[in-house]
Amino acid sequence: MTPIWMRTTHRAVEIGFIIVLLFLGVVIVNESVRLGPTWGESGPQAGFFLFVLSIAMILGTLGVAYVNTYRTPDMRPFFEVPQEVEDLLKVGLPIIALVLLIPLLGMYVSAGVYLAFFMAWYGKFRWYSALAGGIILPVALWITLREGFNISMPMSAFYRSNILPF
Amino acid sequence: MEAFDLLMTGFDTLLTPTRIGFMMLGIILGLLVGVLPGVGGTTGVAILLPVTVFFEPVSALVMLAGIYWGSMYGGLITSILFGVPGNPWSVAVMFDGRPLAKQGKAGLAMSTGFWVSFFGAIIASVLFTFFAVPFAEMALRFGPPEMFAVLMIAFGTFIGMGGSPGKALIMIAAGFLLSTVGLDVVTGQPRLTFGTIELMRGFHFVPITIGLFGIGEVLANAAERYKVQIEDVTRAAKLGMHDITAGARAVFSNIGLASSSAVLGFITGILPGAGATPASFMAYGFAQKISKHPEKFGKGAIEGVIAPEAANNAAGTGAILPMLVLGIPGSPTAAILMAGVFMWGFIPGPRLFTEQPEFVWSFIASLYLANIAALLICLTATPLLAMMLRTPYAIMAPLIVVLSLIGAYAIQNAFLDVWLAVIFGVIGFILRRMDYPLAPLIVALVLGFSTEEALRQSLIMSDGSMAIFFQRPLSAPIMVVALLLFMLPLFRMFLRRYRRRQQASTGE
Repeated sequence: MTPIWMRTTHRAVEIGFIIVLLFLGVVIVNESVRLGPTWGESGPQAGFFLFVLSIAMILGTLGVAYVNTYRTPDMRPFFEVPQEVEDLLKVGLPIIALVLLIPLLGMYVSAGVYLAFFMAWYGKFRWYSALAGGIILPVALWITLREGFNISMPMSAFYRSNILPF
Repeated sequence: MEAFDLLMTGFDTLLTPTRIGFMMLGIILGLLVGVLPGVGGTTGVAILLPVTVFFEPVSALVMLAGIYWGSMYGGLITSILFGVPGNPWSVAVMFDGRPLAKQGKAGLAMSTGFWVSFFGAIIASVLFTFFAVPFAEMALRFGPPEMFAVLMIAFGTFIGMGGSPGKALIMIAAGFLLSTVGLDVVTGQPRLTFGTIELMRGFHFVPITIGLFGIGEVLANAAERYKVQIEDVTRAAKLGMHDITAGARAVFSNIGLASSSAVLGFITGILPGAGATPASFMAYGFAQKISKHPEKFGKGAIEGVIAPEAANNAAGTGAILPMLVLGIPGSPTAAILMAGVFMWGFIPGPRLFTEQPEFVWSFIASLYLANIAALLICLTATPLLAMMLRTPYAIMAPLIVVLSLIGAYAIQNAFLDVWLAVIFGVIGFILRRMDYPLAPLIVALVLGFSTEEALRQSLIMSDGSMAIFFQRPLSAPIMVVALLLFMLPLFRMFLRRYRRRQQASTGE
């Protein structure tokens, strides 16, 4: 039995997207009505522009819904081979992990850990190459950003306890 | 000759070691991002924009513009050698460049591409130099209704030109809506913030652009890795003296086609909303139509390299003109450059030409120098650039991700923006897969504020009547053109139905 993500068609994803858009459209119409979608005392009220746009978005969505799910539905699978999903997760999940690490380890250390991990795990590099990458990247970034352009980045717990300069 | 004198002042301002240095740095970076699949010129400019806040404005602008020009040249290398276009505007050159490479004429195709890119860009730069001032003078007479009408042309172009009009409409509306999040400038009311304080300052467009283009492309490439097999053809990337002269000769013997493609590209580029990608496709179609041997197209016709490359470089240059003169960018990359102009403390628009002539004219001067530099680098260092493709994916992808996140964070020192970039990366991946155009979203996001302002001011002037757009001598024709662009898909639909009915009645 093929897993569900392999049976999902373009049409199914499109339907999901349309539902999200319609929901957002309703939320925004609601917000624009709260702000006043019409003419105020001296000009258009704050909700006027929002109202026009949300209507445009809903019309566009209905048009796309008609064409892409009813007139000429795209029944190709969204993912063609399982390899796609696998590669996507292998690249995507470490990015999420990286963002979760930043508040704790700061931008520089997290970037180094992430590069080293990705090199060793996905790229099958030898451990010393990966380690070298993980050290060179944060140092190079720190020199360019901090010393070169004086741009501040989130710092690590090591920085706060004076172990590392970043 | 006024323009010529101003241009000379521009060269004077530009010719300092730092500024030339930053320009060269930009071009080299641009060539790199153009060559590397997965980072386009748009991403390169967006990622580096936050860094340039700390530069002196002229250096910042020539560096970012250098990335844009560099990526225009670099994109054709991968298109021709590997059939992997590094940028959307390098797709058209692939149709004939790739077959030429397969016939062992990669060197000829590339050097022709470089020469004609240079030729197109220089023609466009000359047009730019002499059109800028008259354009700015005309734009000075624009009031809010005229501005709004021109903005409508920009969005009309997105809807009228190719792709699904419904999807373009959704993307435009979504971009505008994202731009309205935060405090309303006129009344000060919070809009679409749903009671949260973080959303009060609104979405900055840089993290969103970085997400859609940077992270989004990394994810899109990850999912397509299984089918891309980059063979090692780095040896084919050598450009001999023979190729260089043959390329120049090929351009010279097709000088008419090259010039008309460049002019076509420049005009398409000026049209707000069109940009380099449609220009390259239009020029390709045009070349095929006027060719004496159209059947050779797609099988390695050198004209198929000349036309799109001349057009896309000219269009890239042209797209900057409305950005500087009107504050309306012609392409996503121009939109990011415009945000930069704001950040460096200037306001794009006709007054920039009278108030900051040095800034504007040194930029125009840099058009000439940057293209000369890019051509020289390409003709000499192509093997080196192609070698960059050997950088392992497991190093390249994390580097792009890290630089993207740094760019997203640096723009307002807000951690929320890092999440924003990641979320929009996922959204960008899905949208790309479902053929939603990303350019309208970015342009609308950048222009949201000025569009709403122009619309509100116009309506205040007219006391609420939409008729104001059709009553003023300047705004009326512009608005009519914009409306026609919006209607174009409808006309096309009726035409198709009419033809089908005719076929049905005659076919029996």
